Order: sequence, then structure tokens, then C-alpha cells
Amino acid sequence: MMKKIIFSFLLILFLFKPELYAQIDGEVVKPYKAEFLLQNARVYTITQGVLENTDLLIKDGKITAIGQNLAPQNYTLVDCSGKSVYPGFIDSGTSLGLVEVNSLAETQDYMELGKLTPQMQALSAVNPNAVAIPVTRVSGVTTVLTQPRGGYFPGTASLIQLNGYTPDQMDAGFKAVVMNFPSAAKSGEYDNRSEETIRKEADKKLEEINDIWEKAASYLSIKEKGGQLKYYPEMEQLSRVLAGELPLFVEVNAAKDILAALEWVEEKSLDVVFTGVAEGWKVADKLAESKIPVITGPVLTLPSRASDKYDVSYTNAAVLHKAGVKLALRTQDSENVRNLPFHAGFAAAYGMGVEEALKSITINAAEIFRVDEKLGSLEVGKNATLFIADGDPFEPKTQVSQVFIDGYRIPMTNRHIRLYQEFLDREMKPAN
Amino acid sequence: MQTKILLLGLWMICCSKVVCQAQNASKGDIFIKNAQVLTITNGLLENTDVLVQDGIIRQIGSGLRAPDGIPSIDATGKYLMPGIIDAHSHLALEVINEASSPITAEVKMEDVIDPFDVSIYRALAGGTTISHAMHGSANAIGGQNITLKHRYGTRDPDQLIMKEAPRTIKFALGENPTRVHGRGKNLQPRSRMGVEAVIRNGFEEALQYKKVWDDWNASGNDSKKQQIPPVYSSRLETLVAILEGEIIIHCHSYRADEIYMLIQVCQEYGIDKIVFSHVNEGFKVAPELAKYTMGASVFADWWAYKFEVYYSTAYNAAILTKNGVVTSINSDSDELIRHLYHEAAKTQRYGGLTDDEALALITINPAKQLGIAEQVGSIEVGKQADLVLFDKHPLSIYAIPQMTWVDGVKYFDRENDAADQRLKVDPEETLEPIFLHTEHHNCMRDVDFYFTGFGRNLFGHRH
Amino acid sequence: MRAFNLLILFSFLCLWSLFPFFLFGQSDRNGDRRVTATYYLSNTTLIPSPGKILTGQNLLFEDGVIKAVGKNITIPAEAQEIKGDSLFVYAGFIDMANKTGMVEPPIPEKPEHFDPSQPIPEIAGIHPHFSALDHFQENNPHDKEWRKLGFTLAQKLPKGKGMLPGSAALVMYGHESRNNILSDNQSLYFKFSTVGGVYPNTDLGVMAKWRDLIQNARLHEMHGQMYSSQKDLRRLEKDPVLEALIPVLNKETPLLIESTGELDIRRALKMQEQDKFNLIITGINEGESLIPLLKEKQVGMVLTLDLPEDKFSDVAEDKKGADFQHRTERAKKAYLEKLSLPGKFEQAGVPFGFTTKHLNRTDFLKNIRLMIDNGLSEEGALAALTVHPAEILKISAIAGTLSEGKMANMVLMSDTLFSEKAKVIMVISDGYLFDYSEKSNKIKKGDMVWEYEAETQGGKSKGKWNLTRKDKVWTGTVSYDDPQGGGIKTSTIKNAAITEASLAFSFTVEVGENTLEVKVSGDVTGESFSGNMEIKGYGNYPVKAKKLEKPEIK
Repeated sequence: MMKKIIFSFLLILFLFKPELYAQIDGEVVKPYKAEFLLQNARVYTITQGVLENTDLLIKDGKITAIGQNLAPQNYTLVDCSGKSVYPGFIDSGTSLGLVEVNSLAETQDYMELGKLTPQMQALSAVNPNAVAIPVTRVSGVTTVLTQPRGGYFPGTASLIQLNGYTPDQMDAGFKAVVMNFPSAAKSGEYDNRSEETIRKEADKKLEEINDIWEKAASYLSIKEKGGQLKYYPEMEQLSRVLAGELPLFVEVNAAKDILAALEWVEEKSLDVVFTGVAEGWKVADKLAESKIPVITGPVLTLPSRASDKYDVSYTNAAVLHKAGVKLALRTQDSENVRNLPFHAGFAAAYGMGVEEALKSITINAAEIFRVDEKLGSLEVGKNATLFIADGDPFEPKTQVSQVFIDGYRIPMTNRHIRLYQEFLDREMKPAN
Repeated sequence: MQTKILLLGLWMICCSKVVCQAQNASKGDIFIKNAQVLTITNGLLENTDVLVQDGIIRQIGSGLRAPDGIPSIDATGKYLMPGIIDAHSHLALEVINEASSPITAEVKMEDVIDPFDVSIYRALAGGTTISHAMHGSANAIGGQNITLKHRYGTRDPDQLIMKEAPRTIKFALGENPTRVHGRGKNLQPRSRMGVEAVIRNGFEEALQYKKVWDDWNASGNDSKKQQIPPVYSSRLETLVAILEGEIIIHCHSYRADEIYMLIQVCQEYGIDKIVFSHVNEGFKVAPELAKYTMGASVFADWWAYKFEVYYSTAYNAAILTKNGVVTSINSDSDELIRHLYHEAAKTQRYGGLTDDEALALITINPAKQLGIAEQVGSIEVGKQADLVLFDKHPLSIYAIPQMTWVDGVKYFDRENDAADQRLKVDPEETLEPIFLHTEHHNCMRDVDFYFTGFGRNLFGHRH
Repeated sequence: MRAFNLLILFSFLCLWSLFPFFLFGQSDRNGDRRVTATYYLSNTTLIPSPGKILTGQNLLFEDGVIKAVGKNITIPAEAQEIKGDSLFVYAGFIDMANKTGMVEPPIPEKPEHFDPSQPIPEIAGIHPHFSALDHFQENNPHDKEWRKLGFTLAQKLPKGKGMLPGSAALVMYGHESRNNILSDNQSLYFKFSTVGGVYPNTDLGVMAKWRDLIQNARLHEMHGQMYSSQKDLRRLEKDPVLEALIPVLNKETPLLIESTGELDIRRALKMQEQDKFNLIITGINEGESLIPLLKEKQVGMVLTLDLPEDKFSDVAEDKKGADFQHRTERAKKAYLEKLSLPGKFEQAGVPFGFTTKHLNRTDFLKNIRLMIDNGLSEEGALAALTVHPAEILKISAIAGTLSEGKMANMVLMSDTLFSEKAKVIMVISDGYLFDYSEKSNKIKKGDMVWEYEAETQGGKSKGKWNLTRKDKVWTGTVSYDDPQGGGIKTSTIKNAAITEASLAFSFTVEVGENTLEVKVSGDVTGESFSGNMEIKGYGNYPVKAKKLEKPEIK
């Protein structure tokens, strides 16, 4: 009986949201663009505080007005009473779209053969129809950096927005070459190398990287002088980094590796961002001094050493922030990028505070990715990439009721939701 | 400069004695005053006192008076809930898989408990007081699991065992056993058909075994037996015990078809003590799970790490709960076990479970599935005092566990928490290994030997 | 057990005394025979057992047995004197759970369509019916090296990768002309390890398999008893594996369990709790908290002489930081705990022996001194090398102390045993003399001895080059470790070309049916050589050598 009541309740809930519920066989809800007026919302602008009872107008994919009592005209009205509007969240490190089923090699497109493959473009391999994309975006995560892995220079990462039929439509306008800084740390309990071997191997790798770097420098100087160069896509891509056209994202985690990486980049005038930085809390001051922005995460992960305090991965972001490091967060996930708000929530609880945690997945990320003209906050003129929630989006119980990406109203469904709808109250139950 | 001070501070804390050196299997007294008590079985009791004596919850009420000498804690504004129970874990184990045979019912996880695993402490710091230390998923019928109480600090593995817990055993269906044995060693099972056959073979052999022994036992008195003694097999002894209902099956499973298959087999052999674990497609057979099993123990949101979990939904726990399945959320991971309260909270986003429903997923429900609901899983007079105190409601993202008790003994206190909690240190290890991007989940540990020729992607994901 | 040992000893002695009459008409043309089997140590300092020191003692032994000890004993005319005035005489050391000289037993091939879940016992590393003696190389060079350090008796464990490699034996480090086996089937060896890839594959399987084996051994024994009185039953099939376990169940043979840590010790105690056998645990390297329990259960205990590497005396400057310091402190504490473990056992009044397994020979005295510096008494250390292992091995009647009737196993030291300057002057084992005193031999003019070390694929290889110049031509020999494990071998040096600044020569090494050509060449600076060793068809390896000032001349 109780079940019946619950079910009817849920049914009513769904009926009020027809877009969630494909009642007609084969009917599909597509993203669509219109002029939307979000009315009477609490607007978390990020950059200009929280605005109560405020309207927000979306036109041609942009936020064209924010204010109280905007004229409704012919806009599609969205009642946001009791609800909050946030800029779309940005995950600063994922492999979303590059892998469909993690363990199946056939679906893994995030790693190429070779240690020097900076020209490999993540954007080319992004599958716009990956099942994980709609699963992610209904949580309010609208934009992610998707990046290749493996080797010294695994490829070029791309910032993508989670709506579009082609990679180009998804391109959010930022690329960076990824580098894995060689580690002189012992990697896990099955690493039987001696201390000396580990150091030697790391030194050797760095030497190799330096050799590559020198080559890229000569390539660039010939290029700048207008010399004839044979097709050498690896050097071509690295030379763009050297010329300052593309930033370098340096993945580095162990404390001593971070120090070594700081030394390595110091001599070079590069546009650098450090990523990972799991043991950043140990060298936060040095990082702050360097002014290098940091993308850290996952927050919900184990401490890197057995002797570490249990919560170092939760508090790392707070320690870095308090030291003055410019910070963005990442999940480093593929299928569960939807958990980004929870990673941020943990960072908030463990010392960072809600406001800073919010910034780390909105405006800070947008600034690091140089897209703060378009993304990262709710301001007139910026892209209408935002979402409506019935509360604090870090709180698990909060429901995200509507997501807009670039002014497109995103259907609030995905395979997880459709399976829920189909199986919540199944037909043909076993007889009692 | 700030870092230096911080590091120095950390170092000084570390040099002082490791805090949690609780006495072996000791039982404690504690008086917790004026807490928001999440009883689980009796809703939320506001501003309520809980008195614990000798490791047992003695009184719950307001305005209680504690006998002299019992330490008391003012918990005003804080939330007290029962210790979190993880129905699927592999922490504190030296070995996880005895992957050498499709049936290894004879092996016992109690033989390989590792009390030095710092993950136990980390789990306590996340409010988890009991974990079900399971055999891995390499075999159709794996080993006998052991239910642990997180009495961290003891060097004696036996002190971690929850003595009242009934026997349980690991079964596993689908990709893992077929990969290890079928593809890895050219042994059955190679397919889901084979998994069923292997399990049936095991049960049938067990029935024959039982008959042979019953006949022998009946064949005259000890001094004059009429037959020679049969061969002893602890493997078949264990399978007989399953058939006789003495052991609860905890079955690693993902797809609806394989879940349904084992339900059918169990029905045929009269087995009703079975819990399905992971059970990502459990939502498809929720009515059957509700009717024929002791429930399902699921992940909050894991999916797509392998093909058999591609058609999953994060709404699984909600669908199961609403269909009347006894449902729990497990970790299968040394990382997730640190925040199962948060995993449970996700069911409020994915399916809108109530606070009581969500909290039951990590307390009374796993207790039922492990057969220990009489002792733990809720805050009730007479139950063991496994408790955790949060600063905020545990389903809030901002909640931080403050103190954790097992049997009334405090094993974690955030305010007096030394950094380095290792119980045992390698004397030659001055370069401490660091663990980054490692798989936190261990279902398939110790089976690598069989895959030297297979390529790495096979072990990429192991649950 | 003791009677059995004595019986063996007695038969040995019979043989021995007969020896001179078995020459079958041949003279001792190489002068190998000793003149007498009767010796006495004169006016020496005797440590008959730990804690006792007697000065001005004479000790008479004959045919490997101590006949008399005291200040005024009658010395027969045939006794040869060993001057003991400046010496300290200790009972010969007893090593436990040692594997030097053991070779892996042959294991049957895996059949076609091999099912790794049901291997035959031998393939699964379960062969308790194997005896250490069946795969033991007597007179192997390692044991001779151990004898140089004072060991005269050792318990030998069989090799094997799995959980039940076989039964242990007791052997003497005696003269190579004799059969030095003291007893067989001394204890049954068990370890927590597996062959890999077959059942059992981990400690989980090992524990379960053990329980099954024990149950079935009991049933097998019962079947045997039934069959002996009721002939209408199914016959008892031979099962060497189960039969080898029955003496353990009946407490006739102890089970010797090797431990690699305190969790292994706990598992061993659990096994004993269940099946009540006599238990010896070897390889103990931790487990202070277990001492009371081990004492209560009367377990025979064997501690390892192997100690972790000292990583704390010399810490590089760049590694000092609060974090590093903290971790180092904890590791150092763990290190000191290892060093003080034997002292803790001693203080708790728990007798224990030592095993040299895993021990680098050159660390033997150094490690004992470290243990003494960290709480073990000198008497305790000596006891762990003599009296206690004799007790655990149940051979106290013949070994472990120096008194009338005991075997003539002794270590003659230049100083008290554990002092820094103490040197082994002579070891007497089984009544035979092994003289290790440094004789003041001078180098003959024109002779050179180099001690070399080469890095090869198989690891470090060490040996000597003995070179002699005659008529302006250098000849000589090179010694090396046999790549097939046959100990130290020598080969003739050819084509030697030596100047003040360079050295080159070649030699050949036999490996099975192959002959390897080896060329050595390099530069000499003063007393050191640095160069290259070319093994034809394999590659080049660096070699370093040092010229010895006082080469030993035999």
C-alpha cells in the first residue's frame, strides 16, 4: 500500500516534468535554445556576491541581463522561486568522453603509444555521445578539461562543454600540452627499486625531457628565423609551448617532485600550471611564491603515504589556498565526474570554506583556462552556462532542476534516470 | 615559513605517542550528553543522553545521570549515530584471493587478518566501526569471510574479529571468475553458464560428501567401523554448511541474469541466506531480490569501469529500497570506507531517500546482511556501543566525524589525532612509498599471476 | 631420539677406529692421513658452557669424543698437543634451519592439460616425504666457510618452493673424508609459501590445505589401524605425503615452521593450538609482544641472525626536513627493536637458538655484537649458539657444551668470543682440526696474489688470481664461484702479460658442456687493478682487484 502511495507520488512528480518522461514511444527530448527568463532566483554570481529575488535573462546563448523584476515579454519563463542559480561547474581534470567502459581497451582513447606525443589531440577523440556526458551534466558540471595520459608528453588537453554533436561544438576554447614530470618517489609498496635507482631513473628521465626541450628550442629558433623544417609534429607542438602560444600543464604530485618541477620551470619562461599536486600541503609556501596556478584533486582519495594524517587529501586544497596558491579542483575521473560538487564540498568542509570551494570549480578554473570572459561566473555578457538547484549544490540531497549550456536548455535525463523510471515499479513481479 | 611551522607541528605531534593504543578487545564506559541521536530504528531523538557501560548501551534518554567515574562528553548540537558498517571490504587482509581454483570454500580470511593495516584507522576516522573482510571475486565460490570490529591498535588479529558474527562466504559471478579461470587457465567457468554449472557441481558434490560421511558415522561404533573412513574435505564440509543454512552467502554479482540464476539455484537447494553484493543491475530484479534474499549491498554510484556495469544506475539503492529489498551501501575500497556516510547521502540525490532510509543503508541494513543486527546497527539499549559523533548531520557534505567508539572505547578523536598512525614500521624504509592513482578497490588482488600474458587492461579495474 | 643419535654416533666411531685397517694394501702415498686421532689442549682457558670460565685447563679428546677435562688429567702418549695457553675455547656453534649445500629437489613436469586447481602434491610444493639428505651436497664450500666462523653442527632444511619441502637433517661440519650426517628426519619443515600458479597459491590456501592434510593423515592412520585388524576392508593405499605427517601428529617429530614476521608466528601458534604437535619456529625477527605466549606454549624458538640494514648512521644532508626526520625516527625505532629482540627474549627467560639463514657470512660477528650492544648478554649469545639449539634439537647429551663424553666440537679463539679483536684460530669439528691461524708466510719474490670482484649478469663474482713468475713467464690460477653452484673452482691462467702498469691474461670456465673463454685486461695503479672481463659471446664486465700484501700460501 505504502509502495503504491510512494509510486503515485513519484509519478505525479514526473508528470509535472514532462521532459523527463518520454511517454510516447520513441519520443526524445533534445537540447534547445530559446530566450529564457529565470525569475525570482537566488543568484550566486561568484564574482559579485549572492543576489536575492533576482531574474536572469538568457538570449542567444548569453546572459543578457541580471536584475530584479525584468520584463517577461515573450520569453520562456522559468520560475526559480526558492531556487538558486549557479554558473556551470568546471572540472579541471578528467578523461570524460575519451573512454566509454574503463576496462575495455577498445574504448580507451586517452593514451597513445610513445612517450613524446604532445600533438595528440584529446578533442579529436572526444565522443560527443558518450553515455557519461549526460550523466555528468545533469549534476551541474557543464564544462570539463579532458586530457590524455601516459608518457612524458602524452598530448594536448581540451576544455569542453558537455553539449554538442561534434567536438568543435563542444570546444570551450582552451587547450594545453600535458607533461608528466618524472617522479623520484617510490611508487607504492610493490616498487622494489632502491633509493638510488629511483633517483637515477628520475634524473635520467629529466635528462631525456631536457634533451627533448632543447630540440624543441632549436626547432622554434629555426622556425622563427623562417628556416625550412621537415614535418615534425612533436616539435611543432612543443615549440608552441616554448613560444608561449600554448600553456604547459605539469602533472606532479610528490613533495620533492614538486620542488624539482619548480626548479625546472624556473629557468624557463613558460606558461605553466601544476596539476595533481597531492603533496602540495608540504610545500605550499614555495608553490605560492612561484605564483604557478594549481589544479588539485581528486579530493576524495587516500593520503599518498601510510604515515600521513588521514585527512591530508581532504585538507590539501585548503592548505594550498591559505598559502595563497591560485587553485582549481578536479575529479580525475571519467564516468563519475558528476561527483565534482562533492569533492568541492569535502574541500569546503575541511578548511577551504564554501565560497572558495565554489570559486575553485567556477571562476578560478575559468581564469586558469583563460575563459573567464565567457565562463566561471554569472555576469551579463558571459555565456549562459549555468544551472538551477533547489539548494546548495554541494549537498547530496539537493536536486538540480535545470541546466543550461551556452543558452541551450539541457534535457534533464540520462541513462541512469531512464533506468530508474523503467525499473522503479516493474511490471511482472513474482507471485506471492 | 608557514609550511615549516606546520610541518614542525605535525612532526611534534607524531613524536608524541600514537594516540589510539586502546587495550585489546577492551570495553569502555562513556556518557554522551545532549546529542542529536540518530537511532536508526527509532528516528531522531533530539537533545538526548546515551550512557554506555562495559561496552554496551545501557540507557538512552534525557536528563540521565551517569554513575561516578564515567567520562562524559557534551555533544550539544552534534549528531550521534551507530558505527557505520561496511558489508563488503577487503581492508586489513594480507591476502585477498586464493585464485587457484574455481571453488575455494575451505579458505578462511581469518587466517590472513592484518592488524597493522593503517586503513583500519582511516576507516574509523570516517565513522566505520565494522567491516566485512571478504575473499576476492576470482572464484565462483570463494573463501569464508570474516566480520571485523575496528579495534585498531591491537597486534593480535583475533582481537579484531567480531566473535558474535555468523559465518559468511564469498561467491562471485560474471566477468571475474570467467576471466580468471576460463580465460586465464582454460578451466571452467568460461561463461555465465559455466559459473552456474560450477556452483551446482559444488552443491551436488557436497550432498554426496555428506551422505558418505553420514553413512560412515552410522557404520558401527568408533572401535569397530564397518567401512574405511572417507576422505576429509574442508571445501565440501563448508558447502554442506551452506546447504544447511549455517553460512550466509555474500555474492559478488552485477548483471540481472546472473543474479536471477543464483536466486534460482539457491531456491532449488533450499538456501535463503544469501546477500547479493555490488549487484549493479539488482534494480532490474528488485522484486525477486526482495522476495528471495537477505538483500543487496551496492555501490552508491560506481559504474562503467567494466562492461558488466555499463548498464547501471546510481538510482539502484533507491529502487531496491523502494521495492522492499534490504539494501546496504558498501565500499569494496579502502577509500570509500572513509566516507560511507557520504555514499549513503548520494541516495538522496539519486532517488530521494529519506534520512532514515539513507542512514539504514550503512547501519542496520548491513548489520542484517551480516547477521549481527541483534548486536549492532542502531542505537538501542542493550546493543554494543559502536558509535560515531558528527559535528553536523552525517548526510550533509559538510559533516566531519569527530569521535568514533567501538564497544564504548574511543578509537578516534579528531581533536587529538596524531598524524602517523602506523602500528608497524619497516626498519629499512626511510624512503616511504607513495600511493597515487592506485586502485583503491581490491576484489581482484593476488590474481595477477594468472595474467602474465594478458596485458594490463585486464587488471585496470578490479571490482 | 637421543638413543638413536648415539647409535649413529657409535656406528661412526666403529668405522672410524677401523679406518686405518682398510687401506687394502695401499700406502698413504699423498700423506693424507693424520698421525693420531688423539689430541689434547694444554693449559687453556675453557668456557665449557655459557657463563663458566675455567683457566689452566687441559682437554683430551680422542676419536671425536672429549675424554677428559681438568687441570690434572692423564695425557696418553699418543695424544698430540695443541698449545692452548693464549686461547679461549668454546663449544662448537650449532646452526639451525640452514640451507647451504641444499639443492632444489627435482619436481615432476606438469602434464599436458594440467589443471592447476588439482596439482599432484609434488608440483604444489607439498613433499614432506622428501628428506633434506637426498638433496644435500656434502662438503660444499659454504659449510666450510661457516666452519671457519666456528660452526661445527647444523640443522639442514630441504629446499623447495612450497609449504612442505621435506624433513630436516642434522649434519656435522666435519672432515670431508667422513660421512658427516648425524641424523635424518630431525623435524618436518613447514613454511608459509607456495610454488605459485597452482593450488595452494597463497597463505589462504596453505592454511586450508594444512588443515585438510592433518585431518586426512589422521584418517589414513585410522585406516591403517583398521586394516591391520580387519582384512575385509579396502586396502590401505600408500600415501607418502600423509604418512610423513603422522609422526608430527603423534609428537614424534616436531614441526619446524619458518616465520617471516609476527603474523606468521601467530599462525604457527594457531596451528599448534589446533593440532597439538611439537613446534619449533625459526626465522623469528619480531614479535616482542608474543614472548609470554611463546614461553607458555613451550615452543622451540630460533631467532634470525640476519638484521636489517643500518640506514641511520649516515643520513645525507639534503634529506633533513621535519617530515623526513619523523619517518626516520620511526624507522630507526623499528630498527633498534630488531636489534634488541634477542635481548628481550633472554630477559624473559625464553631459550632460543639462532639461524644463519639469509645472513651474510661477513655480518655474523658484527650482528651478534649489535645484539649484545642492544641488550643481549654475552652468555645469552653463546647459549643461543650452543646450549639452546642443542636442547631444541634434543642433542644436549652430545653437543652444546664441553665436558667428558661430548663430541669434540670446539672453537678456539684468540680472545673472548665477542670482543672486537677476537679471531678464530682453530675449529675442531668431530675431532678433526681445522687450522685458521694466520701463518706468517711471506710472499715469494715474484709472486702476486690479487683479490678480484667482477660484476656479471649473475651478480658479483669474487675470487683470487695467483700468479708466479718463472723464467720471465707468468703462470698461475684463477679462482671463481662455479656458475653452476659447485662452489669455488679454479682454472689455469694463460697468456699472462704483466707490466707495472697493466695486467692481462685469459682462462677458461667450464659450464656444463660449454667452455667459456674469459679474457681479463686492465690497468694497475699501485696495489689496485681496474679493468674489464670479456666473456666471449656474452659481453664485457667491469673487474676490480686488489693486490694482497700477504697472500695465503697453501
